Amino acid sequence: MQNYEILDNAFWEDGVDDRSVLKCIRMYNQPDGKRRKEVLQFSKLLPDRSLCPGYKEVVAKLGNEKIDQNTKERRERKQQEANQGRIKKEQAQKTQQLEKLFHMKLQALEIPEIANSEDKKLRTKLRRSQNEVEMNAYAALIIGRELGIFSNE
Amino acid sequence: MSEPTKGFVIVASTKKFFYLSAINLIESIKDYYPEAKCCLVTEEHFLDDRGRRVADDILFCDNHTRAKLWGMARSPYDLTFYIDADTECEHEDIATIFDKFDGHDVMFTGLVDKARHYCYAEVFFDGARKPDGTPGGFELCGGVCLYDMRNPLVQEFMHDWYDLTVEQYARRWWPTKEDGTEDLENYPASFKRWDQFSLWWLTNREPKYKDLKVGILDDDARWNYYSKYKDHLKHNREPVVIRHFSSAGAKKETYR
Repeated sequence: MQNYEILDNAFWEDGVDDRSVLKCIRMYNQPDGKRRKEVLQFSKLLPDRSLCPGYKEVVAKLGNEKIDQNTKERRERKQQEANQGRIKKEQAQKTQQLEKLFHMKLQALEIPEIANSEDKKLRTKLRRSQNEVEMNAYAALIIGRELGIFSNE
Repeated sequence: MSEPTKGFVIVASTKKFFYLSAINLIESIKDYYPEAKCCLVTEEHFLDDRGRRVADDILFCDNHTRAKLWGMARSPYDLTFYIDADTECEHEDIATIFDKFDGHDVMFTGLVDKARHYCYAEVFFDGARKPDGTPGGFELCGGVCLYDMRNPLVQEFMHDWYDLTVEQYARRWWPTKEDGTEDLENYPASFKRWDQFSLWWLTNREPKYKDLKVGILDDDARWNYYSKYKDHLKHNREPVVIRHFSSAGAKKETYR
């Protein structure tokens, strides 16, 4: 007697659009009352070119249309998850960069030539820097001005 | 009647990080609002020429972790906008902040938007549950605060907030049950570390302040935009005015 259940979320394998490979989950009822999950992949044809019984069973139970629908929904969900993951990663990087830049500005404020500089214009430029390169450039300019390396003209 | 004085209060205590941040913040405010008056509240040993150069008023505080509340209560300005030191101003609308009272005595940014809760450590507790059974908790964030010191009730409120928080942090005050023991079921011990709790208590349980008009700034996220906010969730409608680096690792750094 069949002691498993085929879940109705089977889908066609990614990258194969001819319904020739499907993936499904079988849940087995075990003697101890627990359930065991088995993820299976079936190709339509076996090496001897005969129809795979596992494939045939799943298609017979769910039908091509249901598997098509599952595939569409799954691919959309995966795409959405990938987009969210990308946004999350980009945001984390941006946050980290902003916080690092903030820390660097405070460090710059500790450099005596910058701390004592009264060049408001350059100090403002330094504070509004959008990245480390820009900030370093303005820090160097301020220090250069304070040390008399650069003139005001 | 003379025009009310207007100004910003920034408190830098306990760590050099906050002092440097405060200088940076004051300069950034004046970048966008050159006429702004800024009061720097700091520990005397931190103060140097940089602080004297940028601040219009200076007050010395002690090293209590909530010296910010002490400083807020002693603002020299009628209309005051308190801003946490670990922030930066990045928009000219900072000059409009004193027009944002909207009929209130005290204005904060909010913690009510559930879409932002990923950014906060703790919000809900049973003692704040609403009469209809829905969860309740902190609704006000103390990162920035706009208040009118001309109102004696506001002055008293600010002093009480500091006094109650000192008691709370020193473990000398916490809501009690009828038997006199601490009510930790409704007010969990983990909330003892938040000055938002003393703020919540005063604004929700203290009869003296039932007539105090407390509100949340319109488009509040832009006035206290946490660096951890996820931009794509669009918490703010208009550009960010104050960016808050409250979780920055820089706090742990050692400065000269």
